[in-house]
Amino acid sequence: MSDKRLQEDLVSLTEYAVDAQGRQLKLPPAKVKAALPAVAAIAAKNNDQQIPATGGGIASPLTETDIADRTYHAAYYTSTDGLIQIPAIASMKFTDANSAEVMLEFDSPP
Amino acid sequence: MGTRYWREVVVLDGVDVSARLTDDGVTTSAEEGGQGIFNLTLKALPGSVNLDALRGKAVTVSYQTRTAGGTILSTELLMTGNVDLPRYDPGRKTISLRCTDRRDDRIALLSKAAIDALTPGAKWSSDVFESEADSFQYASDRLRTLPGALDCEPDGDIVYTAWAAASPHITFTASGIFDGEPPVQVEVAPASSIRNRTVLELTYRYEISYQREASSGWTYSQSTCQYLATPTTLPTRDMARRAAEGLSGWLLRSMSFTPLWPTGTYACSPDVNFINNQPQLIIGYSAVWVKRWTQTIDEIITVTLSSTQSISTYGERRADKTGSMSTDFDVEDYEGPSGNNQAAALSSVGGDGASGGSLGSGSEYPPLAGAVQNDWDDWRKEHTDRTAWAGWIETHIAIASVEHLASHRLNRAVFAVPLNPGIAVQKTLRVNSVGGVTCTGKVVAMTHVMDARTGEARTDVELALSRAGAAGVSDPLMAPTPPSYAPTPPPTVGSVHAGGNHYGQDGTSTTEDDAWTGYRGNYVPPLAVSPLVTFSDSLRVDADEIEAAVRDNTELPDTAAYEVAPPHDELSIAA
Repeated sequence: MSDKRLQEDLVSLTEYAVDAQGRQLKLPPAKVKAALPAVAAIAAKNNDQQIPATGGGIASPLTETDIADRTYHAAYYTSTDGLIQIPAIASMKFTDANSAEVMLEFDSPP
Repeated sequence: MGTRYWREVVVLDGVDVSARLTDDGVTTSAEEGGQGIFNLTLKALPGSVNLDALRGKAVTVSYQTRTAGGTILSTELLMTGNVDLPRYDPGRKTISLRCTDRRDDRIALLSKAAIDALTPGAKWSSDVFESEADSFQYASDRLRTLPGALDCEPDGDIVYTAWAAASPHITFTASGIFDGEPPVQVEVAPASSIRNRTVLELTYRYEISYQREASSGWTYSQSTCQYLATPTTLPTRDMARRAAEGLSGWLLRSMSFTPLWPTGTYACSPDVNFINNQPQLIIGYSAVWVKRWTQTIDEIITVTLSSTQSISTYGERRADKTGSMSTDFDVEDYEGPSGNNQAAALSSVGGDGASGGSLGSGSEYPPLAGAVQNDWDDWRKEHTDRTAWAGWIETHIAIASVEHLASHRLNRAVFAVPLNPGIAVQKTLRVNSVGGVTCTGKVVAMTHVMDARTGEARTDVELALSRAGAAGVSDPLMAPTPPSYAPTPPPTVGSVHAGGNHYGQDGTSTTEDDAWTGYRGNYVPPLAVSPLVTFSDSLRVDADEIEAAVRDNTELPDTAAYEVAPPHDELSIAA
């Protein structure tokens, strides 16, 4: 056989040590990615937010909205001597410290 | 010089210059996979000798037979080519011409499409070969995957010829072969040159992208009437949003809130008039988070090619090789530069998010196109190119297969016959019982010698004999089915947890635990003043870790096996 042929055949048997194009035949180890651990998020209430302890209830003090808002019962309180009759308040309207409307309602005199 | 019944005919640049040939004669040599070469010597014509102009000129050599009377019987072309190197010998006044059939140049001038057409069935992968290769390199690369060669025919055409012996074109008996010692010389290649097992470790690296979607939220633990009887602090929308958005590595897709009960009279026996003038307080929220990450897979397929008959005949002759390819995927772009802690830029729907409405339309951060949900309910997508992968793996297998075949056909039968223009490297010849030798093989090298001095015209022949112990059947060299990665999910897949209620100032001595998930507040006023343990007013959201099985770099081994059966050509030697 010719020397050239033998040489080519021998080369073809051994050349795998490197790729014909010098390409990387073995990949480097893959980059190890960081684990994805458990995470937590905590959010505290902002101190500058004046959040009342509850969302409801009547906040003192109560301030009457307008004396004209008062309503009266038809019946009167009458003095024992029968000379004086005092109007009996039926309802009064107030606003509390949170500007919420508060209504007081009273019974009619006997 | 004796009587010749043949004559060489040389046509140089369209002119028959046979009459100017010296007695040196003409020799043409061809070799499988190499350039054909021929040499001839012309007497110089009187006048100037234009050596330079001779370079590249077309030349043909033909073999002409004639009768004793000079009648032409046949004229057959032996080789077509060009003058490569002209030389002038001033002493003899001759011009010697070294010519080639320009096989390499002709291939180099072919288009890649033409090369493809010449080498059907070849494998070619840009992950094995150089994409920018020129035509000659491209053809050589393709030929590494084919058991055959590209050679010039006598007329100069490039043709592909398989190595495997065909049905014999010419059969020679003792009378047709020149005597020699022996007339047919058989040389077998050393056993060490045989390759009958190849183990390829082929690593394919790719990324799997995952998207996990988790829904959770927080709900206040007391009923309306319980709240009105034993009120507590409550979280705000702002707190909930900050907690939900603060979950590092998780993207907030959407969020909605349950506001504190509205102003009204509640039948709590007795009735309670309740005025809600704190719209920022909430008694619940729900949210959907999205987690994106990737996993690197090294798919390692161990491919074994075996020539079983050869192994059992000659012993195992093994080569181990490695190869790798990878498919790129922009991990950072997908995961985000720092673990995808992207602040959610969610639009508010029906409010500003601080005092009403919800956040996000729910369509933010959709799964990648083509992703499918796995057993874990994660959206999963393999970023592979299986077409390129199959081409790559089949190219590697084909190269190894061709190397097996090549290593089994290094055996030679050498003999000489009277010049036969029908012999070429494309031909299969049979020797039938000459000097005890019978064999069949394809021509790998040959030389036509036309010696004008002795009048001898002969053809020296070298046949390749493929020997493999016995005939076998080769497997189709198709890429195997790739392995899949589908780890079993744990009983509970990691998720997001936001629920839980913990209240201080409840008259117990329970102290606050920072690890508590959900809301931590206080009864206001305290349920009892002693002991009085006050908690912070905060919301906590927890996300589990992403399981290593879907995160850690993973090697995915697999195997594939192929039988490569080199031809077992006819060969017998009788002592």
